[in-house]
Order: sequence, then structure tokens, then C-alpha cells
Amino acid sequence: MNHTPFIVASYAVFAAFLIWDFVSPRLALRRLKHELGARAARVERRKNR
Amino acid sequence: MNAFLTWLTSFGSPEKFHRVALRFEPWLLGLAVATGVVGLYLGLVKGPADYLQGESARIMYIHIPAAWMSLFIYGFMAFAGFCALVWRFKVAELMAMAAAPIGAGFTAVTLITGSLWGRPTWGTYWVWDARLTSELVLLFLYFGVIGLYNAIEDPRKGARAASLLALIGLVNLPIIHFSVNWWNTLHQGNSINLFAGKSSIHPSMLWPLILMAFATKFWFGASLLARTRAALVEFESGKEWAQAVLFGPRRPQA
Amino acid sequence: MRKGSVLSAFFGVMRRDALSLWRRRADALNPIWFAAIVITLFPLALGPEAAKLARIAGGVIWVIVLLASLLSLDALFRADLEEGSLDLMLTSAQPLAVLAAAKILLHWLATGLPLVAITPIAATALGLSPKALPVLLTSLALGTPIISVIGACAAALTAGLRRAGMLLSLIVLPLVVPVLIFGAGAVEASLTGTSTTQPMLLLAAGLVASIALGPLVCAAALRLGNH
Repeated sequence: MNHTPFIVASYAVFAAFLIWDFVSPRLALRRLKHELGARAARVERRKNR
Repeated sequence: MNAFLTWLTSFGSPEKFHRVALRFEPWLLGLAVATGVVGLYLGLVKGPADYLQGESARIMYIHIPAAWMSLFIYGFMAFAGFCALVWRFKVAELMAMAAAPIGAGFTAVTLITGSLWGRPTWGTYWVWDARLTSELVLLFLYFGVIGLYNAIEDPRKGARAASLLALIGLVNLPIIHFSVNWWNTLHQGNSINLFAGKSSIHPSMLWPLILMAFATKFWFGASLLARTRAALVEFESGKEWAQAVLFGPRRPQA
Repeated sequence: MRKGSVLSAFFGVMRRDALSLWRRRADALNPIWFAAIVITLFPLALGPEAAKLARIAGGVIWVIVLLASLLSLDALFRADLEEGSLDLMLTSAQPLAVLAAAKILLHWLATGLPLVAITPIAATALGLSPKALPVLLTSLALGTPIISVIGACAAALTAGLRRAGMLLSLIVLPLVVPVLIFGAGAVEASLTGTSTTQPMLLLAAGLVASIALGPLVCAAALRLGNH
């Protein structure tokens, strides 16, 4: 049996996990920043009206 | 002990923890990448194929370190949870909860690479082998901790409840492991002896394994700090320091 | 029994739980119905072949008992939390672990014991070998209290949640894996003629440990959710 596809798939899974693990806290921070910014802008708009 | 405790509590200040974490993170990440690249180079490019298992033994360089990490991170999570329950450090609570998804990820990687290794080696994706079964139960333990944390609305209460669950799981883990081994010997009639004739590891395989073990540990450190940092900033998003982290120091307060 | 003593608190909680169980006695029978129906489903799914059913009867009954005992766990602390009697227990002068132990014991008497009691009928229906029946009953008698203890700890952790059902099973099932393995393994061992002493002793050890530690952990979990 040709083993290469299984090895490639294993390393792909591992790489996918590493990428997810690296990105998810940074994405969470970005989302938070976006949310807080939007909220501050909303408050600002309401004040100026 | 007292000095150690004072040192530990100094990290209880979220702002200080954030500052220290930010400084250590790139170093850990760099070490992880360096050891990982060298380890994989030795294992994949320079190393020979195993004479028994052929090329597929190369999956072991991620499978075995990931399996070690799955247990190591569970132990770490339970330890951080213990600190959270006893001393009520906010940072320890967040650390325990930040470790859970990383551990679950490594456990999932272990299971998937294990079954991908099994297909060419045993001819089947899944065997109810003692190690695989223990690992599967471990994954469910992680899911329970994550699920409990997410289900409880108050994050601090959720973190403490999930920490207690992690501790219960830690006590149970050796028992589960033992029982699954016992179960495997009970039903030995219809299982294959998986690791027959593979008692020693050739040094050319050992070095990449050790390097990968270090790489995954460094990676865990970096990821743990990043996740704890993100959780801290989110938790304290109303505070000045968190605002400064998010928007830079000179943004006027809304 | 002196009024205000620890024992009177223990039996007071038990009496109160038993009374409220009796008032909802139709609900209390749910685990039994569940077990009876699932046991009927197995021959329907696998075919009526007696030898095959007899082979798997022990394991099937163990799994069904495990799932049936989960059914009533969800409500163990929920009602107390909603009506406020849990707050009284938390602020009571009596040790919370003792009160939790009373609730766990009653949960076992109301769920585990009836399930053990109907097991001979289920085992006969599935054609389990008569020589394995005593082993099955003993293993269930030793194992179901452990399930109640672990389940109560999980129920205490999830007491404040609106929908805890699925989460509760996700938490409990991995933790009770050893109970299932040794329980069903003892039956298996008796069928294949090997000694059942080891799994039985391990179950007994687990029972002793969970009786000693379980109420304390359960009380700690209850305190966590309510501060």
C-alpha cells in the first residue's frame, strides 16, 4: 500500500490544528476590538444627536 | 514556599500578567518553530523509514508528541484549576480554561493521526485498542470541561465549576486508563497484539521525537499565553489597561 | 434521634425528598419504563436468536442501567435551587456534605435500586445464563451507587443551567467508564469461566471511595455555583 497520502494527511491535520490554535485567540481579540469600537461609536452618535 | 506564593500572586494582577505574557510569547513561539523545524527535518528528510512499518512510521513524529501533550495539558489544566479553586486567582481560572481547547486539539490530532497511521499499518482506521480508547475518553473529558465552562453564563463561576470537573477527571484518569487496559486484556481473544516486536527505538527516530516533544511544549506555552491574554483583555475590557491594549494608549475614554 | 443533630438533618432531607418523589410517583417510574422499552428494542434490532442475545445480555443491561440512571439526575438539585431550599441547605448549620449524601442515597434508592430489582426479569428475557445472573446483580448493586455519586457531583455542577441534560451526560459518561468496564467485565468473566474476584473487588473499592469522597465533592460543587 502507498503510505504517502496517509502521511500527508496526518501532517495536514497537524498543520490545520496549529493554524487554528494560532489564529483563534488573535481573532477573538480582533472581534472584541471591533465590537467595543462599534459600541463606542454608537454611544458617541447618540450623544451628538 | 512563601516567596513562591508571593511571586505567583504578583501574576494575579491581570495587567502585569499581560505585560509579561506579551514579552515571553514571541520567544516561546520562536523556540517552538525552531525545534519543530529541526525535528521534522531530522525525522522526515534525514531519517530512514522504519524497517517494520515503512514510511508510515513518520506519522509517529506528530502522533506521539501530540499524545504526550494531550495528557500533559490535562494535568496542567487540573493544576491551574486547583490554584483557581484554592487561591481564587483570576489568571489561574483563565489559564485553566485557555488550556482546555489546546488540549482537546492535541487529543483530536492524536486520534486522527493514530487512525491515519492505522489504515496502512493495521488495515483499518480504528481498532478498539487500549490506548486509542483511553485517548477517546480523554477527548470526551476535555469536551465536558469546555462544555461546562461555556454553558455557565458567569465566566468566573463557569471557570471554577469547570476547574472542579477537571480535577475530578484528573483523579479518574488513571482509573480510566487502568480499567481500559484491563478491558483490553479481558477481550484479548479478538484483538491484535499491536506493538509486538517494536520494543526499542532507533536513535535516528528518537532525536526527532524528543525535539518534537519540546516543540509542542513550547507551542503550548505560546498558545496558552495568547489565549489567556485574549481572555483577560475581554474579561477586563472596561478597564483602562485593557482599553490601552486594544486601542493604544491615547484614545479618549468613551 | 435528637432534634438538630446531624443524623436528624440527614433523615430529614431524605424524608422530604422521598415525600416529593412520592407526590410525583409517575415521574419516578420513568427510568424503569425507559429500561424496559430499550431492552425490548434490542431483540427487535438484532433478531430473536437466543444465543446471540444471551452473549450480549450482560453488557446490554449494564449500558441500559447506566443510561436510565442518568434520566433522573437532571432534576436532582434543580427543584431545590428553583424553590430556594438549596439556599437553606447552603446556609444550614449542618454540614452540606451530609445533606448531599442524603440526597444521593435517596437518588440511588429511587433509581438504582429499582433498576437492580428489575434486572432478573430483563436478564431472563434476554436469556442470560443463570450462573452469570448473581454476578450481574452483585456488580450492579456495587456499581449503581457509584453512578449516583458521580452523577450527583455533575448535577451539582450543572444545577444552575436551564438545559443541562446533554451536558450532564457528556460530563458523567466518561467518568463512569471504569464502572461500566468492571461491571460488564465481571459478567463477561463469569461467562467465559475466569475469576470475577478482581473486577468485583475493584468495584467495591470504587464504591467505598466514592461514598467517602463523593458527598464532599458534591458539596464543594454546590457551593461553587452559589457564591
